[in-house]
Formats: sequence, C-alpha cells, structure tokens
Amino acid sequence: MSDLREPGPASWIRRVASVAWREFAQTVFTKAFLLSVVAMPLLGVLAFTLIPMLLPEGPPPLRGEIVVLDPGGTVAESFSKRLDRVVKAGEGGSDESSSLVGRLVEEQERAVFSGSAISVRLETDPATVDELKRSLRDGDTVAILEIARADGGDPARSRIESWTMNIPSGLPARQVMLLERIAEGSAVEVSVALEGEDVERLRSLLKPPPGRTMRLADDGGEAPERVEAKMLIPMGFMLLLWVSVVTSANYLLMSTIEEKSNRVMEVLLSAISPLQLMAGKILGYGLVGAILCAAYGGLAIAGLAAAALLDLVPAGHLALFGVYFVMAYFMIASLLAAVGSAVSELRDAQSLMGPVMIVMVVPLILWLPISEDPNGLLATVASFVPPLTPFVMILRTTGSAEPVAIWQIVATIAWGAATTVGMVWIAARIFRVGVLMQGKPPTPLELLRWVRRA
Amino acid sequence: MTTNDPRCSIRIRGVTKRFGSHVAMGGLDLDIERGSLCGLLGPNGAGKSTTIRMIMSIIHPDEGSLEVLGSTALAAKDRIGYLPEERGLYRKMKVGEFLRYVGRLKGLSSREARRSAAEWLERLELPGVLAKKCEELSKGMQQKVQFAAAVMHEPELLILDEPFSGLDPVNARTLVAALREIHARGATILFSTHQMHQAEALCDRIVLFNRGRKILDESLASIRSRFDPRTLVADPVEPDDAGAATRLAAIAGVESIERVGDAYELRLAADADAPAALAAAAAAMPLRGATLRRVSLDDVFVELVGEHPEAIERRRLAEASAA
Repeated sequence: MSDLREPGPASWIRRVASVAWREFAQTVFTKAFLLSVVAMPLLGVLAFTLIPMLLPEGPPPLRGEIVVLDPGGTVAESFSKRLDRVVKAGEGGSDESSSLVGRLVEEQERAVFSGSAISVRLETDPATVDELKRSLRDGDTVAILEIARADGGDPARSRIESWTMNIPSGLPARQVMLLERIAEGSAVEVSVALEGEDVERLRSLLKPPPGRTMRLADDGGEAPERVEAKMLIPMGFMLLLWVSVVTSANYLLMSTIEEKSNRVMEVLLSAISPLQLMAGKILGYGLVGAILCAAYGGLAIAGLAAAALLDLVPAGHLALFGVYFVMAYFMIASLLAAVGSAVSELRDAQSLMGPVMIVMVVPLILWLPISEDPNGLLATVASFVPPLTPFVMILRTTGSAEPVAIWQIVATIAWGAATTVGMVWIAARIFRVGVLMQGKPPTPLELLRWVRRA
Repeated sequence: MTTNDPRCSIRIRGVTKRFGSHVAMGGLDLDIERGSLCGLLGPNGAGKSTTIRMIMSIIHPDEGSLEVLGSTALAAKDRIGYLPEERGLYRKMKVGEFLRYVGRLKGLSSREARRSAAEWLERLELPGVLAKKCEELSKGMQQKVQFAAAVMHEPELLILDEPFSGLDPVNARTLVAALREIHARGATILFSTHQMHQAEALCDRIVLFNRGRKILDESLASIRSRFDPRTLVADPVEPDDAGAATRLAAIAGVESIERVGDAYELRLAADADAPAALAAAAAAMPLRGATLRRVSLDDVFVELVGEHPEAIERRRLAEASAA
C-alpha cells in the first residue's frame, strides 16, 4: 500500500491552514460577498475621490438679470450687494464657521454661483409683473423677486410684508435655495434700515468674533478641543470594530451550524480534531474580518482624506485598532463558535445568542457616556470587563483629548489577552463536545458540564 | 491498554457505552485482524454505529479500552478512512473542491489530492462531476462521492457505517467491486450493515450484534461449518402424490415438514445425519431435485436470538412510535 501522506511536524498547522483557507475562500470568493462587502465600500471610495474630480464643482453658471419688483425701490440695492458677495467673493450665505460641518456647508455654497454673471435690475411698477413673467418664461430673466409693502404712504418708507420669488422651471434647487436666503437677508436688512438702525454696525456686532476652545491636561499640556474628533472619530473606530467583528463571527456561527445540520461534521472530524477545526474556522473568518476592516476603514480614511482631515487619525490609533480588532474578534468568535457547536439548527441558536447579543449591544450604549468622559470611572471600569475591553478602549484611546494613561492601555491589553485565551479555551471545550451532539440545544448548566467534562 | 499487537488493526476490550440508562453496547471484546474484511451485523439499534463511533474516537466508552492501528483513531486519522452513517457534504461546494479539501485534511498534498479525487471518481463511475456542486448530484452519486472522500488517501483501515443503505443495485455493485479492490490491496475493512446478504457476499468475518451485545464473532467459513444445514428441500416429480409427505416425514432425523409450493421443506433435528437424510429422501420417491439448504446469516441470527431481524425491527419501530 502506497503512502501518499506528507510527513513533517508542520502537519497540524497545515491542516488548520487548510480549514482556514476553505472557510475564507468559501465566504469571500462569492458574488454576494464581493458585491455587498467589498464592492460597496470601494464604490464609496471612488465616489469620494473620483466623482468630485469628474463632476463640475457646482450647477451650471447663471447668465442674465434678476428683476427686483419693489415699489419702495430699496430692496434691489441690498439684494444686489449680497448677490455680488456670493458670486464674486464666494462667501455663501453663512458666516465663517469654525465647525467642521459649517466649513463643509460654506465650501458647497461657494460653488453654487461659480462662474455666473448676474445683474440686478429694479422695477417699481407692479403692473409690469405679467410682462416680467413672460420674459422669465422666455428665458430672458433669471428670476423675479416681488416685494409686497404695507399699504399707504411712501412705499420706500413702508414695511416689507412679504416677498415672492418667481423662478424658471429649470433652475437648480441649490441656486434657488441660495437666492431665497439672499432675498430673506435683503428684506431683513431693509427692514432694519427702516427702523433707523445702522445695518453695517448691527452686522458687525452680530458677527461672532474668532474663538477656540483649549483643553488643559492635568500634566500641564494643552490642546485645541475638536468636538468632531472627540465624538465622531471614536464612534467611527468603534463601529468599524463592531461591524467587522460581529459580521465575521456571525459567518463562523453560520458555517458551524451548517456543518452540523449538513452532517458533514463527522467526515471532518474523522480527519482532524475539533480543536484544529475550530482554530481553522476562527483564523479563516478572522481574515474575512480583516478584509471588512480594510474595506470599510479604507472608505472612512478616503473620506477623511478628501475632507483634508487625515490628521484626526494618527498612525498610533490605527496600530491600536489592529490590537483591539484581534482581541475583540477572538473573544466574540470563540463565543459564537461555542454557540454554533452546541446547536444543530439556526433557530436553536437564537436562545443561546440572546445573552451574547445583549453583551454586544453594550458598547453601542456606552458610546456617549464614554465619549463625554473617556477617563471617568465608568470608562475605566468598563475597560476591564471582557468582552467589552477592546470596544471601550478603542473609544477611549481615539477620542480623548487627554491621553489615556499608558498603564491602563498596557494593563487592558494584557488583561484582554489573558481573558481572550481563557474564552478560547472554554469555547474549545464546548466545541469539542458540542460538534458531535445532535438534538435539542443544551442548557447553560449542560454547557458548564461540557466545559468540565471535555 | 496498548498491546500494539501487529496482527490486529482494532482491539477492543471490555467496552461499555451507555446513553442515560440505555446500554448501547455492553462489555464488548473484539479483535479485527489486519487485512480482514469484517462485517458488523445486526438489526437497527443493535449497537453497530455506536461501536464504530467509539472506534473512531467520535464518542468515548464509559468503560474498557480501544486500540486502533496500535494507538487510537485520533492518532491514526491519516491511516483510516471513514464513511459515517449520517451522510454529509457541503451542498454549495464543488465535488472536486470537496474531495481536495478532505484529501488535504487527510494529509495529502494538493497535487496528490487532485489526482486521487479524479481517479476515484472515474473508478466509481462518476466522470464529469468534478466541477458540479454537490447539491446537483443525485443521492446515490453523493454517497459515492462520500465514499471517494473516505478512500482517496489509500487508508490502511477502512471503516464504513451502512455503506450500502440507499444505494440502488447498480451502485451497490460498483461499491462492492471497489471494496474488493481495496481489500485485495491489503487494507483492513470493517463495515456495518443490517442487510445480511451483503455481508454474506462480501465478508470473510462476521460479528453479529443484538441489543448492545455481541452474539457471534466468527469467520464466515466457521459459521457455515458450525451451523450445519438443518433444512432439506425435496421437490417431488409428482407433486400430487398423496403419500409423499408421510414418506418424507418418516425419514430418520426429520423433526417437521412443511409444503412450500410444489416442494417440501424438511426441518432436521440437531443430531440428524443430513447426508443420510438426503439419500433417504431420494430413495423414498422420484425427485426433480433435493438440496441441503446452505445456512444463511438470517438463519444463524434466528437460531441465536430466536427471532428474525425483521421482526425485531418491526417491534422496535412499534415501540418507538408508541413512545
């Protein structure tokens, strides 16, 4: 009888690698995965980077005149000045904002009338409105702004009661919205002037002075406070960790249940040990999780790069993310491997999945309080509670203006690594017994018995 | 216990397995010699699959010891081929991928696994299925693919749990031919079945189980010599001969007589001289033919247990449905 088997001490590892590769390939090299998981973020990255370069910066430029039909005759001047500021100076309708969102809005507004050449003409006779509307329909006029004044007296001194903007059917919405804001501003400005106030003085008074917030650290350092960094970036990191870990661990759960329900488990176990099978599965789906991280994380980083905000994600945070991903994945994957091995069908898994899902929701609930106080008591205690440790620590380390104490980072990583080993060990004992069990799912007490017995 | 007897592929001593209060197998001693082709027989629930699963270290005995290829099945996985009773395949996986995967797990290199998979599919009359998904195959084809997965690494010991169940006669013949070929190559084969005729046709050694106990463990030749033919079938030339039954019943050693169609079946006593009875029947009247019927495993089982396996199965099913 010929011996086809490969000799060598690496046989154990090679079989684990065979299982890992099968699980990885059967999941990743499918149309569904490629479309839903990889293609979508890649399309997102393309959308962030290529499309803005290919598309024109704003709507088509406007050419022509806007007629201000104002019996009082005072709104046209203000409207013209404001429109000029938008078209020429590109200031948009908002004040200079110090917030990230405000800056993005201003950036968008600058492009709305880019390249436009618009003049403003005053018309004071209301009887001309029909003729003006015909002209607008014929395409000779960009818009008509009708000002309604209170009856009686000098129209120039009468209160502005309302305004109506007539626009052609094809005017882009972004240009309409900006014209509306300019009309509102002009009406307010004229109304203020009618009350005898100095408009420029008021505007100057209402303009917020430049300001910033500095966070003073206990060690004497100080750094500018960036709310978006404190709130959004940690949430982004934590969600990325959560989604990639839960998705890949869920694949592992499904695969284990499928092997049990398909009765292929006994064939596998005639060739490899339960520990080898579990190790291969965990490694294989870990790679799937890493791909998810790369895809979604790449999308997020491309987005930040497009907004010139890459400085919010230093390399150290990415390195810590890698550590916490490994820790979180092994913890959750071992839990779900144990659940998958203990049940024979998907519906049986629901009862055992309940407690696991409750634990998994906790990091999402803790996001706000921990972001508010990353070095507070709650955050510190939660950092040492597995399997919350990696999720809480990624929130704390990426969001705190005041750095998390090094000893806490080291201690939580050490503690997390130890508990990960413990969880994998317990899962392996449950897996070993569970994969060969059929019938009704075990009670928690029976699971404990399996751990002791295996 | 590790005796490392080179003559034995499997050595079982005092093995007992209980599921709750039910004793699935009690006090089993069994030696399977290297190179033998051994059948584990018995009705459903007799303990065949439990024994096989213990041999494969899938479940562990409550008492006793097992030795497989000098150690345990866990340590000798690469030298064992196993076809479980519960058939299982990855439904969405292609046949070629599945076989290569199992081959890799069994220690073959990628190239060897690919070559062996193609060879075995050809040998099992499954050409052109390599690129098909497992779910696209018929049940019989799936079973042959699983058989290929069990044997593609050329195991020294092949353990098959009910390999013929669900197979049509053509596929069963293909499988029998493959088993004979593997056996001729020197492999030890142990398979379970509740179909006695399959075992009679294939095995050189029979182990019979009933209700978690081994009731017989002998070579087929030994069984046939030990369980002498006890039935003489006489087919008279004149079936309407009114005195035929009386004359046949008067032959020395005949315990009872029964008419079956045109022929008579004579049940002989344990101490009867069968050849003499045969000669006496031929002398008593003109016969178309007279034979001493060869003992079947069904007969052996009935003689040992006092009940036909099919009757046991019917009672088991009735008890199960009542429960």
